[in-house]
Order: sequence, then C-alpha cells, then structure tokens
Amino acid sequence: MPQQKLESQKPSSIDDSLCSRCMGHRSLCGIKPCPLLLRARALVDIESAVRGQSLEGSSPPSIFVGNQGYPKVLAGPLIPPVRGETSLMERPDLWLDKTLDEILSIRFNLVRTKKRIPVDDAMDPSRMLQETQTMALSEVPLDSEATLLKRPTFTSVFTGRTLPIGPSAPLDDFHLEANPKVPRPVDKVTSDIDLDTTKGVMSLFESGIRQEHMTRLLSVGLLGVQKRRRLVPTLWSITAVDDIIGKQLHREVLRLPWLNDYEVYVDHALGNTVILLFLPSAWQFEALECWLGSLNPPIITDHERNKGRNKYASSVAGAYYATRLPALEHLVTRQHKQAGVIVFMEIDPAQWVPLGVWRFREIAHRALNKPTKRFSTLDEAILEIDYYLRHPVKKYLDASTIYKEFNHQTLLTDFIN
Amino acid sequence: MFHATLDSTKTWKQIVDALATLLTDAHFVISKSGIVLNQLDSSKAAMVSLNLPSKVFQDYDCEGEYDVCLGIDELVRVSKRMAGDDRLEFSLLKTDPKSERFDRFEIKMHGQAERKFSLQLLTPPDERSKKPELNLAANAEMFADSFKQAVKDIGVVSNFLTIKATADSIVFMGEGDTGEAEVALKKGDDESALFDLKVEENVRARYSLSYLSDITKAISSDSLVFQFGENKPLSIEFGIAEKGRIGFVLAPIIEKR
Repeated sequence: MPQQKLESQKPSSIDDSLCSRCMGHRSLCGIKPCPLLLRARALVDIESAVRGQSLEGSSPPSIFVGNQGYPKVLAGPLIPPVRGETSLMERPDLWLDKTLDEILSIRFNLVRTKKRIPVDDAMDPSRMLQETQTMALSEVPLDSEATLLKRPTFTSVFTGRTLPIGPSAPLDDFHLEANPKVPRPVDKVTSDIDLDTTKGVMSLFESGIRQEHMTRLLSVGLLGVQKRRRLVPTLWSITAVDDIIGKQLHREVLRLPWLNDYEVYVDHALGNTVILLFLPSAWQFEALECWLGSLNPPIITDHERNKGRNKYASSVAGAYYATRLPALEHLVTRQHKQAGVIVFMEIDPAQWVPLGVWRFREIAHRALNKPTKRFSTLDEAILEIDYYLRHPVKKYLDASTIYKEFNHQTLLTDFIN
Repeated sequence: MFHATLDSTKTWKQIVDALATLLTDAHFVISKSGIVLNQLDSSKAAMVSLNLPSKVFQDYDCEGEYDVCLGIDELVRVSKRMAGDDRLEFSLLKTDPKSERFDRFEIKMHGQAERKFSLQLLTPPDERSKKPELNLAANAEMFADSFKQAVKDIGVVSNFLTIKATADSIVFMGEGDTGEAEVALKKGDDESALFDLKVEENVRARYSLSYLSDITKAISSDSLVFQFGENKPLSIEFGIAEKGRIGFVLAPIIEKR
C-alpha cells in the first residue's frame, strides 16, 4: 500500500463557516498560526512601535481585561508611547470611514500592559488597580507612566469581539500623572455602592454615556453592589452591556404600537454590509450572518420571538447583541413603534481582519441614521435588500425562521369578526 | 371591594404558569361571578383565556367589577414563594385610603407564618378582549398527555404541526428537511387516547410548533378538548380546579400565497 501523501491536504479546504465561528482565536480549523491572523499581523510593523521597558503616554483611556485563566485574569491599562489627544484610539464610532490598515495602526500603537489579578480584587483594589479604575472613570485621555517587566511583543491574539489588541507586555508598575475628568453621571453611579449593575448601566445609558465607557467601567469592576464588584473580561462585558440595555428596552418596546410599513436600512463599511429590515409585527429579532468566499456560503442564524431570549445566542454570538441593541434603541427612542427586525450581515473575508463586533454596532447605528426606506409590501422590501447583498437574498430567507413565520403565520385578529 | 380565598396553591401556580406561557401582563376582570381573563399575546397570533367562577374559591366576595392588570414576572416570582400547604387569600387594596381606585393586588399566604405580598396594579388596556366565536368543524376530546406526546413527536422532524380530522380519526403530521412524522388516533377503540370526536366535515390545518410546544407545557389536566377547522384557529381547553377552565387559541399557518 502506498502511503497517503501529506501534501494533498491543502489548507485551502478550510470551511468558511469555521472561520466565522472561530474569529481567529479558537483554532477550529487546526491550522496554526491562523491564516487570517497572519494577514492582519502583516499589515503593521509592530516591533518598531515601542522600544525599551518604560512606557509613557496618554491612555485614551483604555483598559483590557483578558478572560483566560478566569477567575485570575490578565488585566491592565493600554498605553500608547505618545502623549496628547489619543482618544481616537478608543472611538470605534469614528473609524468606519478609515481603511483597515489605518484602524489597525491606530490600535497597534497601544501597548497592552498586563498583570494577573484575581477578579474579586475589584472590591478591595490594590494601589495599582485603584489607579487603573480611576483611569477608567475618565472621559478624556490621561497621562500615565508604566514600568514593564519585558519589552512589548506581539504575542496576543485578536478576539472576535473586542477592539483589536496590539503588542503586550507584563506590567511592573503603573502611575497616573494627571487627574481624571469624570462625567457627573459616571461619578454618581460608580460611587453608589448599593446600586446594582443593571440599574447602574441603565442610568449611564439614559445620561448618554458612551458604550465603550460603560463597558470599561463594568470590566474594571466599578459597577454594582460593593460586595459583588468584579473584574469582568472585556470580551464578556461588551456583550453584557449590550444585553443589559437590550433587556430593558425590550420591555419597553413590547408596549408600543406596531409599525405600519416595511422599513429597510442599509450601510456598508470595512468589507461588511449590514441591512436591517423592520417588519410590521410584534417584536422579534433574527440575525443572519454570511461569510462570502466559497461557492455556497452557509448562513448562520439566531433568533428570538417577542418574549426575548434567555440563552446566549451562541451561533451569531456577539454580533447578535451588537445589532439587536441599535435596532431596539431605534424603535424605542426614535420610532416609538414596535416591529420585528431581521438583520442581514454580509462579510467579505478578502477584506476582513478580526476587528471586533463593534463594527456591526457602528455600521448598524450609521444605517439607522440614514433616511428611512419605506415599502408597503414585503416583496418590495426584499427586492431592495437583494440589491445590496452579494449573496442572493433568497439564501438568507431560506435560512430565516422569523421570515418564514412572518410570511405564513396568520393573526387571530383576522378571524375575530 | 374584592376578597377571595383558595386552599390550593397548586391550582394557583398552574394558572400563573398557563398565563406566563403567552403573556407579559395579565389583565383580569374580577366581578361578582368570578375571575375572567381573555387576552391576545403580543404577537396577536395566540390567545389565552381563563374562567374561574366564584365556586372555584372557598370564600368569594366581590362588589362591582374591576380591571386588574398585573405584571407576569412579578406574579411568577410571588407564586414561587408559595409553600405547598399554604392557604391563599386575595384582595384589592388602596395605598391611599382617600383614593377611589384600588392600586394594589394583595396575595396573603397563610401557613407557618402569615406572608403578604402586594403587587402594584398596571394601567389596564383601553378595551377588554373577548373570546372569539369561531365555528370550528372538528371537536375532539383526548388524553392531555397523548396530545403533548404528539406535539413532541412531530417536533422531531418539523417546525409545523398539521392536524387532519375525518369522521373517525385524528392524524397529527409534520414534515421537514430530514423526513416526515405521523401520529394517528382512532375513535371507538377502548385503548385509544381519543375519547370523543365530532367532525362535521373532513378538515386539515397547520400550526406553528413553537407556540404549541409552549402551550402544551402549560396543560395541567388529564384530558383536554380541542377544536379546529379548515385553515382556521385551533382552540385547546382544559379544566382547572373542577369548575374552572383554561383555554388557548392559536391562529393557523397558511400555505404560501
């Protein structure tokens, strides 16, 4: 028997659906290093960004809490080797018009400092953690100084959900050189040690605090009842904030009258297309995600009916919550209407590096700020959507549960009288 | 004023479970003759109805007619606190004695301790829903458990349940990408789970299993009555605490235009 040739197993046989589930950090395809990551790393010359072991600069402010090794996690501030107006580094809402290379070089200027800290230290922080927490309160960049144990290296891996993370280094010591500028609502909520997390997040949301800021406060353990304050891995806190606000808005949306027409919102940025279709029905939500690239790319879906969901949307994951929130916000605060929402997300892997789910949130926000496209029939709305999608809309609709039900489920009101 | 007592916490919990399958707010109409609820779920595809005549309660006293609207989450949480042998007492209260309107629904649990929960009343909707009068051609009575099993069986392959009724049989069917499933029940067989069947004409209709599987979970009786018609709603009714009734109505799925 001739031995099987190893060369015949080409890496080109990677299933695209694997990549979209893996987001470059679960190595589901078994190929190491991940080809997507290699592409992303090649875009930036990381080693030249930082030299030496002491780091001085203005943090945007930005903090990263890892999730590996939970409940003892690697946490620390992100500091660029420059001083001045660095807030752009933590403002993904301003990045949509930039190129991928620009975004990555903005982010890769930040050095992630890390130190292993038990998560429940957040309620009784050491001096260093306390300064990190103080930094999280600020809404403007803060000058700071860190001593590193090693030179920063690019070892960390992208996560699918957080903002891209650049080179990292173990942290020895950290000092703030300036006082933070803390918005009043942030001061009020974080100093209230009897206010639970949900109420705290909602109060911040209602005062218009930016989402990155809330996520940062939650992840450094500044929200919630004193005894229950923890460090929360950044990855989890992003979806947690989306979900906490989403849950409250969901309660409100159920009381609103139904939308009358079909509405379509479209936007495209960074190789991602996001389309929101609003249906005249009770609140229901479905996210359809498709990775172009193969001949017949699979559609990944998750949905909820009008009562919402209790289980984590594990197929679409963070993108589900990141698009659900803008849709709910739009209905509750602007339209004052209830509707069913189907979100179409199309990703072109040729242009993709793992940027994080913020891009879906920001693209959805921008789409919803555009003028409404109204249609009186579902077919017209679908035709419009098809125009913007590269993969046929029929494939999406075949995979959609909400569409099928909406099209076939009659209403009891049709039979009364 | 309104005051009632109920010996069985089990009955109350079954009622709350049934309401919680479809509703987020429960809108009761409390009057001299008893407590009634007829309410569409928020998708308007399904309805739950509850009829608790005053005889269901050990003591029942009501003057006037009240719209009592309560949040289901709160009702569920309070009901979870009930112990098995508690005696329940319900009444309407005013937080401000000078006010003309009742603004609290009080649930008292008499057991080893006397526990009181008073729930804030929500603003009731502008109009009361009525139970729809549907002329449905097929009427069947069967074991509740067999109905639940049939729903689960069809759910193995399909998202939709098709029910077909002829003069002497009921067939539950479903089909999906992976195959087909069928559960048949014949009338007149002693071992059959189908006790009674009246069919005016052969009918069939399809319903969404996502609703049905939630609804069947809330069925707490041994037997149930269901009615449906050609592409018409499905009505499921069962008894609670001997004199009371709980019903669900579900609009059909229709074939594509």
